[in-house]
Amino acid sequence: MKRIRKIGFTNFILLVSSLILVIVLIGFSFIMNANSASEIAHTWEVKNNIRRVSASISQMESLKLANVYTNQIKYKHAFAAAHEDYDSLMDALKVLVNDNPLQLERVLEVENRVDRNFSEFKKVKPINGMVSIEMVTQGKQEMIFVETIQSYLEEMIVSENILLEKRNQSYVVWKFIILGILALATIIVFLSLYSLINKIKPLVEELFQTKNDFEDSNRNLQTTLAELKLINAEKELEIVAKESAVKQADKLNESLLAKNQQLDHFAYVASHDLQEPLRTVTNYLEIFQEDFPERVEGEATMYFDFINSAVERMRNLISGLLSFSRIGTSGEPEGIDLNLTLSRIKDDFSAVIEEREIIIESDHLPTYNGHRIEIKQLFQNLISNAIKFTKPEVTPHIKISFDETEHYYNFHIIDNGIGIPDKDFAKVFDMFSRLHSTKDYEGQGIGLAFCKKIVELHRGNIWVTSKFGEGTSVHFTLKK
Amino acid sequence: MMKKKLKNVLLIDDSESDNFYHARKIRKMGITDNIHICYGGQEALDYLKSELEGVHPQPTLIFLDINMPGMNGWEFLQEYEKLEVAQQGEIVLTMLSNSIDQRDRTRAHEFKTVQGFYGKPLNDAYLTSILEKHFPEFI
Repeated sequence: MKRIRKIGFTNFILLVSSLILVIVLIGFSFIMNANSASEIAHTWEVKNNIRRVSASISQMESLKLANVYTNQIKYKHAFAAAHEDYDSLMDALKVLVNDNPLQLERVLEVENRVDRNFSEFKKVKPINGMVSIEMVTQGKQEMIFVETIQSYLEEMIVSENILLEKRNQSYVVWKFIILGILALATIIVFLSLYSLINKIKPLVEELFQTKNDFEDSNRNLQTTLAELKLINAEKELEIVAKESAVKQADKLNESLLAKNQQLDHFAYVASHDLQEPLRTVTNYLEIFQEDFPERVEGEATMYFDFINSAVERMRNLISGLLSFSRIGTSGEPEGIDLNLTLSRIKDDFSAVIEEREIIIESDHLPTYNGHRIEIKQLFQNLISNAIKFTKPEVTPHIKISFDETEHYYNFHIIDNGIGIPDKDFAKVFDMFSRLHSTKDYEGQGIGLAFCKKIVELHRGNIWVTSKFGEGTSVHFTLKK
Repeated sequence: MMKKKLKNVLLIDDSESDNFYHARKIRKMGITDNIHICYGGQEALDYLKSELEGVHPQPTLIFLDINMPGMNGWEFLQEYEKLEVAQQGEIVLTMLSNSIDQRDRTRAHEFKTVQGFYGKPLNDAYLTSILEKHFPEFI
């Protein structure tokens, strides 16, 4: 851009100054030429005037002679009129040659002679009939006079002719000078235009190239833009799909939550209402045994034992179900020192721990913000399971290890119990799911189902790994 | 030494079998000779307001069930707390419920007349603890 301006500017200055110079020169030449033309015209006018003066003098001379020889007064009148013409022509000629002293001198000379000649004529009395010697002499003088005047006038014309020649020449010279300057100006203009074009040409080409480049990149951009728009539209569609998926998931979650609540409520109401008839059965079994002891003997005792144990089991199942439905309803989460929780559980189990010489090792556990009762139950169930599912002849060894990741606390409860077959890893967490007969291991099959629900309440995960016959590790995570 | 006996015990429960069982328990414990049974809240209120020779029955101990058709335990409590002191007497009222729900327990303690909350069925240990707490001279 800077370059273009510089080159353009220099050229422009050059061009404009040349043109100004040319215009000035042309103007000057025109003035000179016009001067020459007017001078030529002036010269012609002078020449014409001289001729007219000469004619006028000749007329006056002939009228004078006519008067002298005829003595008619009309010639004298005509002479006077001619003389007036002559006077006015002479005045005009004097004005015309005022700029030329030589010519003016000649004019004055002619005027003197004419005046002298015709002033004598006025005095002369005309003579009738006879031509005197005096008259002849006078006639000769007249001839000389006329010739002298004519020669003067002739000289003047010659001199004017010389002037005319000179002025014609100067006129032609100026004409040529004008033509020359015009040619020069044309050449200058063309040269500057040529150089300007030469200098601008690469710039223009460059501009065109740049323009083409721009158009190319523009096209590319537009292609890219179109592609982007397409991608954008796809993305938007994707987002819409995702949003609707999220909405659907939210809806499902909500309905799931509602369903879970309904289920919990159902479990609560069902177990609550099931308790009542069951209790009545228990109550009246008791009363029957108290009131009719003589009838409860022999096989009847066995029947009563079966009924009692079935009712007992039923009560346990129902109260298990009831407790299960109550998980997470006992107040708000609070900070729990898990080490303290663990030592409370050990206290609760102190009798069996002492009896079976159980070893419980634990890492230092964190303080966790959760439901106090449920968290205690979680650890309690897992430790109780570890003890329960160890063969009586084996000393239970339970290890509780802990680590943490960014979002979770991870716990591992490792025992040396009977283990779980691979195929049952998932099944153990099902409600009322039992892998063993009541004869071998007591229970309602709700312990791990409880644990799973408690862990999920705290947005964690629970799973088992085990080597069958060697021990089980229960792993669970709790969300921070 | 003869134990003193409670003047009158009122059972409010819609369940006939529960009433029979509870009355039997109480009778067997020998803490009273007078057990009155009402099968609903309204009946119990009417009974409390009744007079015999200018005297209200004023039971010494009341066992109240929560889930009852008609006027339930909670509704009964609201009406009961509006009664004249003479009609309430020196009564100790305990609730006896199927419910082991913590919320019911909390709600029960909001009534200042409620002295205890027990799960059914009434057994010897419960009865003994009630007597120890409220009627030590009757043991």
